[in-house]
Amino acid sequence: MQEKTFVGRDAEIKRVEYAVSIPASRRIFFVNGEGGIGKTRFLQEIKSRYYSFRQFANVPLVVSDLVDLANLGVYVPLNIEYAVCKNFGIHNFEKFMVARDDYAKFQTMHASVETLNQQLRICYETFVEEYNSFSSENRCVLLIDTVDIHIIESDSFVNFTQKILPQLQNSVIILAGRECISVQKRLKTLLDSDMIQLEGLKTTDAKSFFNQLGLSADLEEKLIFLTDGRPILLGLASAWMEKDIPLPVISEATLVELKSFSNEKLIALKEEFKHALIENILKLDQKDHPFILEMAHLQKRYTPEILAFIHEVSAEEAEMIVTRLSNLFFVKMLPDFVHLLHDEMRDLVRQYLWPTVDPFGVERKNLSQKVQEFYLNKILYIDSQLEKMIKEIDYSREVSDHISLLSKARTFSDIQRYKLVLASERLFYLLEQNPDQGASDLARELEKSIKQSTRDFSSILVNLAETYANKFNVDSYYKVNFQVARWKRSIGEFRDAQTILERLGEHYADNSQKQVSILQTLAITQGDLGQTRDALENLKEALRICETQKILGTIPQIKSNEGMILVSMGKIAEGVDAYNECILRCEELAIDDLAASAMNNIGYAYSILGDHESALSFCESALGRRELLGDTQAIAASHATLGSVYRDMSDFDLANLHYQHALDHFTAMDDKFWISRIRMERGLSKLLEYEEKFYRSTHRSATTVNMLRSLLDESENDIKESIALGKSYNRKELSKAIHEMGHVYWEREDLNGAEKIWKESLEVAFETNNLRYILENLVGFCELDLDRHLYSKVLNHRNALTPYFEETKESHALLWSRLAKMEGIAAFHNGDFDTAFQKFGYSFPTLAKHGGWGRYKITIELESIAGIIDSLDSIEALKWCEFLKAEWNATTVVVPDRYKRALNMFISDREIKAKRRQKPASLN
Amino acid sequence: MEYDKKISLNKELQHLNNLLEEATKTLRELELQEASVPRAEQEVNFVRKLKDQKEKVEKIQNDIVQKQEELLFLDPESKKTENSKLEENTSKIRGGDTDFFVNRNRELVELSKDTCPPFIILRDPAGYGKTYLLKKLHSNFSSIGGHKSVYINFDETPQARTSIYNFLCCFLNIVDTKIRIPEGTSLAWLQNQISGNLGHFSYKNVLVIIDSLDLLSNENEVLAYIWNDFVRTLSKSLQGAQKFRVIFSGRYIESLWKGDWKHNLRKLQIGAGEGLAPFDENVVVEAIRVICERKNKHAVSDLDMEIIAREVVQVSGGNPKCIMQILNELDTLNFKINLDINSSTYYFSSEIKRKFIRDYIDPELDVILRGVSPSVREALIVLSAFRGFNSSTILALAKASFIKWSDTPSSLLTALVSETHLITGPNEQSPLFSDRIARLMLVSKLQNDNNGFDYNKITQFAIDLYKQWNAGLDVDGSTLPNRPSDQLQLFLIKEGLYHYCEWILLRKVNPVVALNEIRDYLTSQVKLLISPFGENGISDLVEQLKNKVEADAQVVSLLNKSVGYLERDQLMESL
Repeated sequence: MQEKTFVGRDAEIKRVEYAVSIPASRRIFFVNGEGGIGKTRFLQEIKSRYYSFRQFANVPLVVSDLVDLANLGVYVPLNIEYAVCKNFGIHNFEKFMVARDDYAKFQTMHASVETLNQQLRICYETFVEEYNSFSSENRCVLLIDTVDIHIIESDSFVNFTQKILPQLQNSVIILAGRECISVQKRLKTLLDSDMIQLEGLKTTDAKSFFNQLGLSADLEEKLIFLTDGRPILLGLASAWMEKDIPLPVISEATLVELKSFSNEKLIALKEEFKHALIENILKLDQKDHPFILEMAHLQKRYTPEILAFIHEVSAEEAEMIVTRLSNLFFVKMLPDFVHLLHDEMRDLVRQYLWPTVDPFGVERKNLSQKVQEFYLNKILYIDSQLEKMIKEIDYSREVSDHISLLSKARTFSDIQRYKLVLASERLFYLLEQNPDQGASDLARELEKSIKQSTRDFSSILVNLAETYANKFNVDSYYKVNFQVARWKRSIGEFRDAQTILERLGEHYADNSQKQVSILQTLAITQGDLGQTRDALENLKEALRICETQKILGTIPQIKSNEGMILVSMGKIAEGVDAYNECILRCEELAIDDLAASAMNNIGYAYSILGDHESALSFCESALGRRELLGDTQAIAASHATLGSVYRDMSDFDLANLHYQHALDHFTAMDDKFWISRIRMERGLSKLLEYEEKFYRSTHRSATTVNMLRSLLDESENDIKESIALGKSYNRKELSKAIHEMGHVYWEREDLNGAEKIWKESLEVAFETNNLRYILENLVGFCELDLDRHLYSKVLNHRNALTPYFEETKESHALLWSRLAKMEGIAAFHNGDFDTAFQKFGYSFPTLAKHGGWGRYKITIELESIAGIIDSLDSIEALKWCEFLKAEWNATTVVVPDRYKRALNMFISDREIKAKRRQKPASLN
Repeated sequence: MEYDKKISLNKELQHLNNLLEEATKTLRELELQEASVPRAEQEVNFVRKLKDQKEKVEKIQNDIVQKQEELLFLDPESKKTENSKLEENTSKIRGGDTDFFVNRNRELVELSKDTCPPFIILRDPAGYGKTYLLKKLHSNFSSIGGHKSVYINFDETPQARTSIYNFLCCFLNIVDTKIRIPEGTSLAWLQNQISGNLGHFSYKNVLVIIDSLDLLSNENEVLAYIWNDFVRTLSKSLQGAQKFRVIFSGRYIESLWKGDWKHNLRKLQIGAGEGLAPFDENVVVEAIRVICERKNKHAVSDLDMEIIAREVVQVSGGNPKCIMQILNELDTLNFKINLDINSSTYYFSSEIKRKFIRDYIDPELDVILRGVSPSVREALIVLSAFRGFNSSTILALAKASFIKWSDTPSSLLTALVSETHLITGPNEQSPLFSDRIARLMLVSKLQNDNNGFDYNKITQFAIDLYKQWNAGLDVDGSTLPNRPSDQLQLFLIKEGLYHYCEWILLRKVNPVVALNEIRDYLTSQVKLLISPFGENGISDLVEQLKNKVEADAQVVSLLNKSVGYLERDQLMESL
């Protein structure tokens, strides 16, 4: 069954040739048509027509091989682009390759989602840049095959078609597949493209399939009629004619009679004919019969190695068989000796042949099991290879052999990617064989890759999850989709995660256990989205279910999540209550690790509230427990919290000691996320130490000045390092780190520098959707303006913040009260005393209530308006003191007692000073 | 001088042949006696006598070979190449002396029908009676006015194998017995003569039979010529005849066929089966009667004839040639031998069955399975217990260690089909594989080897297997990936029933107990039926099952044997 020569399609070929002949143009073709109509053959024909050209109208012409998307590997980000690079020469895409290497490196280092996304963007940009640089010197023809249902929804394909394709220049790009119409429709607004619709061959063209068979013209026409001129069926029919006996109806009825059949009968006959074709072509007495059946079943990869494993034959024999198979016209060859059946052939064999050979599916099940065994062995072998390579890479690094290091690292990540594809193919067969068992594996792998942030693998897994969604039983559907939602959340696609979780919530309304898990994850996701009220509601519902259904084991976790959300809302005291409840439940159920974590969080919350004694006690307990549990990571985290508590207590030496403890641990672990976080906190601590020491020291000796300078330098160093690491490993907190750097500049009295940095921080905050630092930076601008006495600008900045008020008035109450205070000061300087004191009346109780994120001192805040009141004449001052006293006493805000005292003392101080000003003479 | 020597050698040979006939006859008598008496009870003298007789036969055989060689040496013209000697041996095995058989009526009718397709192939293995059937058809056809029949057999006209020219000459001579072929004539002339003769308007019906095509090797130019040009010539010239039919016969010829005419070929289809059917007991009874009447020497009662026939069919698997040989042996013994010393009837003892298998079935199987690798052959023997099998059967048998096959089941299926030519591919009605005569011969072997121990075990295994599948389970109790459809379930129940009856017969269960057991089996299996139309569909399915069982001659016959004719009716009604 040798491949027939290409026939017909003249008009279609001409369209492509014309497009290629127009210099410097970009043209995209979609080749559409049903299975077996000859789409792949069409691309091959284009390829062969231009292959020998090299030059076209004096311009070098390059035509790619078929980039076949029939592989799970295409779900991996960058793999489609990589395949294009391989076709046009890797050396033309060196920048892209380096960027891709970095992307792989980031994954092995478990970099944050933001880092990976950023790196992907860089990869795409360099790809487009280098592609266009290549195509500026070469006219390119890019051929892409198997645009199939399985691929068109995948992120990698969507990205390629929507973002990359519209940017490629001087190329004719042809995409062929069964789903071209829908893809073209989707891209309509982005991209001009042409559709080549392939129909069945015309009778005159189709006849060439039967050359030299000596068939009667009538029989030829009947065959063409029954195959609808589809080349693959014609090929089969011609091979069949050489071999066996057709259906009696074909020899007995004339063409006219066939054509007069009712539509229904004709469809049935065509089906029967297809069935007969496939069954007779692949008759059991053909020695390749079992291999073709296998290829149809093992549809992802069929290699000599797999054949040798399944049949226990030598590698040479296996290679010989596969070479023989590759001569069959319905077998296609992909890179890496992968052989696959032509899609339509595969479908026909699966539909007609397998059910008769293996009616119960037992052989196919065995085959699936066997091939999975092969994959497992292969993956184990690859693992051992990778281990060896790590040693070699380490050695190259040691001896500073950079060239070898680069090439080895690249090979390493290529092999790793290959391994992931193999692992997902194994999963594919498991899913085919037993969807529910596959679902368990899929969910487990997904969970693992969420933990390790291996984006490449999880991309494939999520696609598999979507493909098999309707084959899962109720339980498996939940298991998989729950993890998919978690994955979406982990890569920052909160809205998608929310949609999935809400859908799951509806599906599993009557399953309490699942409902609780869904509500919890949904609540955290809503927390991410700032929908804290809904989050709390959902947690409350989860709690209710747990209590009524006696699912007691989950309550502590719910409480812990509640605490986390409440604290993020600024409801610190309520957060503490939730954490306390969590601890209580943990004690009952002996859940030590969660209890320790809650204690640690309570410690942090108390520190925010300014109750440092309680904060310390909780943090110490948490540390003690964690030490007992031996969880080194948690111990180090505890030290970090303790550092922050001591910092808030202004005990900077102890703070540094704890930070160092934590830092040592994470440095040993090379956990750059935590290093970045702790260096930021320590940098902040040094900055605060500087501030405190600077403002307290009235007489500054040279030593003091040096000491202060070095403190500020140390702070800058820490924050600088935190920013450098954060760019790759902790983008979530990057805007915070940059913002703190602004404070360092301010302390150096470089207000312009500070402003510039806060602008940068604001950009990052927008990019990472970090609401808190959007506000912090905007409020920061207000502070700067205040410092520069630019009072009207303060109010302008205030107005820029207005849109965020409703959303954040609760979660960021402290910021809003600080802002109100600043508004007051600005209003005062603009002469608007009424507004000024109204703002002060509102802002201070809330400032007092919400504490100062640990070390925020109400006394310092009050200091900032002390001067204002003191600058008034005594009557005016006393009037406004009276006003403030009344406002502060009447407030509905619950102010902690010690802060109430501070407020009262402040007023009485102001009153005393005013009275002194009133009777200056009496003192004399 | 040489001439005299030749005459004397021929005389000596004649004498030796007579001696050999006598000696062989005596030896057979002795062997039969040996088979019927346990070795421990045999006298020392008897054993010696047997041994002497064997040596005597061997000596005569050697003498004959020697004389033949001498004769060949004297007559270089009759000296044959090794190859042709082999062919001669083959042809001896191939053509059985089947002259007196009056069977294959169904096939005759089928081939004579107006609806019979124009190009037919008969592809059965040796000994199935192809040649007999075709000769009978030829003679029937020739005797009708306006009918022309041409029969050419490459076995009988070896010259036709040597070149296209010779083939056409031979063929033309058969078509027109009076024609004189001028020397140095062209192929075209020969073809024209053939066309002209066969295409003569006076023939309403033309039949062309080309027999023993398998004697032409794959590379033979005559074969390629027949596949292509000759069929075209025939087709063209026969278009004038109202009815024409061309029959090609030979072992597995469709696998040799390379020409582009292949799509016009049809296999002979009798009922649901393909190819020639095994001989049944009625045919054998007739044969025994013919033998007895012709020679007018044996008096065998009708009942005994039936018993002998049943035993012969069972042991021979219905293979016409083997049946012939066994009957010949029984004939030489005048049907008088007491076949079982413990019985006054004609039931065959297990020893005698083994002897027949050794002497007739095994050699015949060797021919049928020539070129089949040992592992495939072993698997085939086990699989013969099943009327059909598929990859799942193979897997199950391999798991239970009945079959040793480490590769995939599909590859065994492929090997079985391509190496044995005995198995036809699956189709929708029966998703399993089958062959009849060879299968029954293998079953006979399986039933008698090792006292039928293996057959018993496989039969029980088969019953369990079909029960499990019907319940949607694999042998290991795991759920089948694809649950059998309702039609497949009916099929499984029926196959299970076949094996159940076999098991009952193996255990010699009395009919009353057998009736209960089979009823229980069927009721339990019917309960597992799942109809896409729910409860209403079930009764319809049961009705279908009854019809399917009743239409299955083998199962009906087994049921009759195990529970009796009337009870079978009752059993089916009780469903």
